[in-house]
Amino acid sequence: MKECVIQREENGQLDILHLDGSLDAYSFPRLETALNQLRENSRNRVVLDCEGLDYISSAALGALIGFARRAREQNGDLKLAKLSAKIYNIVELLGFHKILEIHPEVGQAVSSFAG
Amino acid sequence: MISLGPCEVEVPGEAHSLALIRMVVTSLAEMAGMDENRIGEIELAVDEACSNVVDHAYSGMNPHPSFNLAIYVDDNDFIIEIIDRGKHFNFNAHVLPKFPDHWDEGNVRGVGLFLIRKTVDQVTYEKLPDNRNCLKLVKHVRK
Repeated sequence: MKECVIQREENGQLDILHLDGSLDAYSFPRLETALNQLRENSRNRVVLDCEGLDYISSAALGALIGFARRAREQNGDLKLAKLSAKIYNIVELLGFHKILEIHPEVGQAVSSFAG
Repeated sequence: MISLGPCEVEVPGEAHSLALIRMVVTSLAEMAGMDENRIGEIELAVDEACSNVVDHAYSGMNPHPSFNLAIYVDDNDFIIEIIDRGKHFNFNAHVLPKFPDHWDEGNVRGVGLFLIRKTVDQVTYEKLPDNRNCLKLVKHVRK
């Protein structure tokens, strides 16, 4: 079971964070740091590529909600893509699917920022 | 017919123990024949419960004591007891959040117990005679 590796890909005005591993109470501060760095640089349009994500805890999801809320105040947003059935189940249990945009593919999430 | 346990584990009361705990729980749940969805749910419940021990029961304690897991599996149930040495929690007084209102009100934490109740079939919490606390989760192996 590997810790989460986060790779950032800059794509014009937005950033794609590719997640690989697990995000639990131990590893989610790494994601928080990555999101805080983006916010400090006024980069408020973010897509999370969750294809490699094998676990996410409520604490990590809370960090996403916090970022999305602040990003929207700056005309940005945080969108999720490529969730496995297991991760989607957690997201759905917490009602996140009603708050955050979820896309089947990263490209669709990226395109949705243009609309 | 399967009968397993108790499988007992003592781990450091720190967040870095969570990955190991999830690995033990998911391995035993697979051996019990639980389907992928149910394995994901018991993994989530146990991770949230153990995160609560580290973040809340052991808050202000330095160093954090260890905590124990005891897992029992039979044909019907996957049972896990999480025994900590921290602060007692008023389990029955806890009010469960509503979604998405909880997020709309600006909260970003405080949903662990909700997830535990939502993903297991039975949950009990008690103070043991030696002042330790025991959270017991029961999940049916099959629907």
